[in-house]
Amino acid sequence: MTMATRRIDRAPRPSSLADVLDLILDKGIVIDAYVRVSLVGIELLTIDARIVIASVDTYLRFAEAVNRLDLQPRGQVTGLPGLVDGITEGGARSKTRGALDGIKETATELIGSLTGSDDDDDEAPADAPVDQAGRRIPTGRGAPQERRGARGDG
Amino acid sequence: MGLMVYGVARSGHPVPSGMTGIGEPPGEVRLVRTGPVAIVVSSVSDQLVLQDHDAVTYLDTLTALLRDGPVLPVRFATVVTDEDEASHELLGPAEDLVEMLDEFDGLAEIRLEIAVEEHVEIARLLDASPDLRRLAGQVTGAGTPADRIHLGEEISVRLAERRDELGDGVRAQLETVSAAYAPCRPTDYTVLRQAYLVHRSDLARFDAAVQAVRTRLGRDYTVSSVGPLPPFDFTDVQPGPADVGHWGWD
Repeated sequence: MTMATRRIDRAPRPSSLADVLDLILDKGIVIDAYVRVSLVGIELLTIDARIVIASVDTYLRFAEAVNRLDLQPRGQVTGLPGLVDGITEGGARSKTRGALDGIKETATELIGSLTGSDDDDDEAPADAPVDQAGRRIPTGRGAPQERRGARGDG
Repeated sequence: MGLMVYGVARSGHPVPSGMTGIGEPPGEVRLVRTGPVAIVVSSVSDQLVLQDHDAVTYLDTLTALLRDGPVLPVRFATVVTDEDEASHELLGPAEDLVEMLDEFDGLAEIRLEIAVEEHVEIARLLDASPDLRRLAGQVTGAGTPADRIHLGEEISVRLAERRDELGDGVRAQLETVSAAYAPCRPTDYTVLRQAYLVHRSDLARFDAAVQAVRTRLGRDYTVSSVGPLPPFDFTDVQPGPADVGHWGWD
């Protein structure tokens, strides 16, 4: 993180391809034509970049972030500016210390053990990302595959 | 051969000579006129497969034309077979398009993005939420993996709430210097994205207001803006749930 609150001028266009796609895809006037207006083939390589899956992965990342907050003694968080104040208070610290060693599994392993049987029960959160057709992307590991499959139909 | 369609403009809209569009080799960008309105097209091969850089060309073409008057984007990847078809299919409801072009005359979209470091935002969230701190203490102490997922999900919900609250505050600051507002689909829990329709004559005022937002939020927030852009987030005229006002003003 930089210190500066410097003036940043308005950019003429999005800086990344993913942001360009986020801006233009599924936007603009849709022509109500019958058969003669067509969509040509599209191979947008970065299309996945614009979608953040609201998934178990994300949730575990957040939970891990909490872990890091609570487990960092004061004064040893130089890599995380602005984090210390007010966070380490309360009863959480002593409890969380002992748990650290027990949490060695990676997020991926956890997901594998948890979502294998109940993918279909997952519900998308209120602001889950939507795919091109505006459908909510289901949470869980199955989502990317489903989406690719759906795109292949078009 | 086909015609790649970029957008709709007035028939008298100037097109820079030598301006080229999508494809290899790229065709010249030109107007197909019907009465007061025209569609912006360029010739493309039947074998065209659109790729990433074509999306950039599409955007740049519309943005360049926007300097000389209103341009309404037509959805990326729309192709018609010839000029007759273009006129018939696209310019059927010409009076609607004339009206739309008038409404957007002098206006451009500015996109605003405000990102905050995830760990900073989670720290603040916990700081402000005793109940969440309590839950975090229980989960990190003796929680099962399912407990941790529950904690993470709870955090994600609260982060989204904070993001939306931030958005409300920012909108309040920018609404007075813009003609319309549209939310953008969220891409992340800690990234706020908004779109504003701004009069060209108000661009400097809008920039100053964005700077005021930047100053108010402080250094933990990265505030960036992009534009002037064609009004992509304000010309969504496809049928569908109207959770976003098509025009932002009524």
